[in-house]
Amino acid sequence: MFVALTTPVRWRIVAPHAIAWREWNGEVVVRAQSGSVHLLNPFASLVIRLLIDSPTPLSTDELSSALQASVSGSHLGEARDEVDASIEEFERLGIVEPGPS
Amino acid sequence: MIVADLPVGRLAATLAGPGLRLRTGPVVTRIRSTVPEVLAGIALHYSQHPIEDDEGFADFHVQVRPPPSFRRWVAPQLFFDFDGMPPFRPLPRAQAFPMLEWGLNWCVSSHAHQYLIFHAAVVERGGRALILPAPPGSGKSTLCAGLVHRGWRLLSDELALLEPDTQALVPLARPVSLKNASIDVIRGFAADAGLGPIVKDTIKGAVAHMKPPVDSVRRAGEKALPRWIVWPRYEAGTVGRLTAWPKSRSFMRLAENAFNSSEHGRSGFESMAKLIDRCDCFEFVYGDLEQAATVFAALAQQE
Repeated sequence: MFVALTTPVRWRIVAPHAIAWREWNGEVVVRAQSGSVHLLNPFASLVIRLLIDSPTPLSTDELSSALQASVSGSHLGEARDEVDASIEEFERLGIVEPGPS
Repeated sequence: MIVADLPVGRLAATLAGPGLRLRTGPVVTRIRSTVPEVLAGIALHYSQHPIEDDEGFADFHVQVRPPPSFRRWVAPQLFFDFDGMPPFRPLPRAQAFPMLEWGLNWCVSSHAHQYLIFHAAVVERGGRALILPAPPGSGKSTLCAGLVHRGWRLLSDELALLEPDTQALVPLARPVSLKNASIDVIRGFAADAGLGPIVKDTIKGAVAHMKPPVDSVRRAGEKALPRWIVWPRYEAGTVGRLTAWPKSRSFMRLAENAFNSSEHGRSGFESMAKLIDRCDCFEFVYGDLEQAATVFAALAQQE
């Protein structure tokens, strides 16, 4: 039997005061701290909204659970895959960063 | 005083001497040149524009001049100087007036950062402005030229100047740049269009400028609030129709057509978002200018 010894990474918005975003027709347009502007697909838009609205960093498990219902007919694993992909992209764009656990 | 108040000889002497302080909307440009094509272009296209005193303030100081070398006579070229320095490579002498126009566009888009500036035509009707952003070759200028001959006021053919605080669009009524086939289209569409000579073999192909309507020049102090953003695209044989375009995607396309959003930082993002909020956004594919004018007349009638 294995026991997970690592604490899951919890994610937060980089410099929330510097991020600007707007939502139209279910799609979020976000301006990163660098000044680059990105159009997010509907699922990624939900992920970023959760992170923006959350007062504390969130793990991918927490995000996946919250968003499972948004992926039509999906299982938790599918939602987690999409959350992982979104977080990876957000981190690459400098929009999110690991926060304190 | 307007340009037409100056006899041609005095206009030439002003351009060759202290420079003509030409007001186009909020911008005053001091233009100097001894090139006859520049004189002729200004006399034709800017005849109704105000001019300022010789000692007055100018936002930009520009000159269209021949090189000091033998190239003055062999395959003659011209330089566009900004504050005494040429920001661009020289162009053939035949392109003197288009070069001045492109240079003036560059002056505004590169320096007038009190505005959010978009590559777009802007026309107004009933106090509401229609923004037509689009890349070159989309039919933007053709549509703009057509609409200003069917009841719309020209604010700009090339540069939309948005005041971030008020969300008002500031007029910059200058000549409309027509390219290639659109020259004959406008000639056939509006016999009184006031087209200048065709300049061939420019980087954009054949170019001719259309004089801005007198009413648009006289009302250059009247700003307009944006109401519509329309992405035009010419497609031969197509019946023109407006198709609603998502605001999120309109934002991204508008950002691609912004000259200076990075200078405005986060507040520029917010200003653009407000602009998108207040406008209905459409894509417009058209193949006939008269029918297109009918579509936009109907749009202007809507609440």
